[in-house]
Amino acid sequence: MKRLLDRLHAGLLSYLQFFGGVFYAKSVADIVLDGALDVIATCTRMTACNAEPTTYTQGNATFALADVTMAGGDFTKANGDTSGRKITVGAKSGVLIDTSGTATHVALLRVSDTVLLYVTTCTSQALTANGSNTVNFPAWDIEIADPT
Amino acid sequence: MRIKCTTRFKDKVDDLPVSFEEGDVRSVSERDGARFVGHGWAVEEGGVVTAEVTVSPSSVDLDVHNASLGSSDNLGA
Repeated sequence: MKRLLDRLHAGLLSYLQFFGGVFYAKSVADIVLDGALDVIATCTRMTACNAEPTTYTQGNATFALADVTMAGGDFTKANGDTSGRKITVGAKSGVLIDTSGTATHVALLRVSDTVLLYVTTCTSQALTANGSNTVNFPAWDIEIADPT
Repeated sequence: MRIKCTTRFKDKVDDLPVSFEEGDVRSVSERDGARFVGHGWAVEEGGVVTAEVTVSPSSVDLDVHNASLGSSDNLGA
């Protein structure tokens, strides 16, 4: 009898796991993910860098080749492409190249309290400064996926 | 290869970030030297011209990579 009950129990568990994933799923509220994305949206400067910055000073000066002022309106939140939530960083065109070099990274900075908020990569691109040459940053996004 | 920098620029040598100042004379690999000369940021010291200088466009586009963060939990393990 006990063996029969054990088999029934195991069968029921398998059924719930297979058909009722909801019983074992993980979830996160959008406001939790948006909380992190909202911090990114406090960015006030975006820079193209010749190496990966790990500090504000590196992102703002040491490795910076070009910089552009950012504001809250440059950031847009939405559902993620895969899952979760994402924030899109708006495109910036005609950004003056301050120093020649090869851009490999893009950094988001908050100037008021000197915080390096986020760093991503870009395809290596030579930037040549001559007082008028410019660089265009396309729109790009940061996505935080739902838990797995 | 020895180069003389004709402008200030920031790049990498042996995968390490390096800043070059105008007038600097440095020894770099053939590959890096050719790249720097090719961009017009330096000349080969001694006036030997071995790399073709490419005219830099007035505006260039970056190809910024999207970023994705996963979130997971470890069930307290």
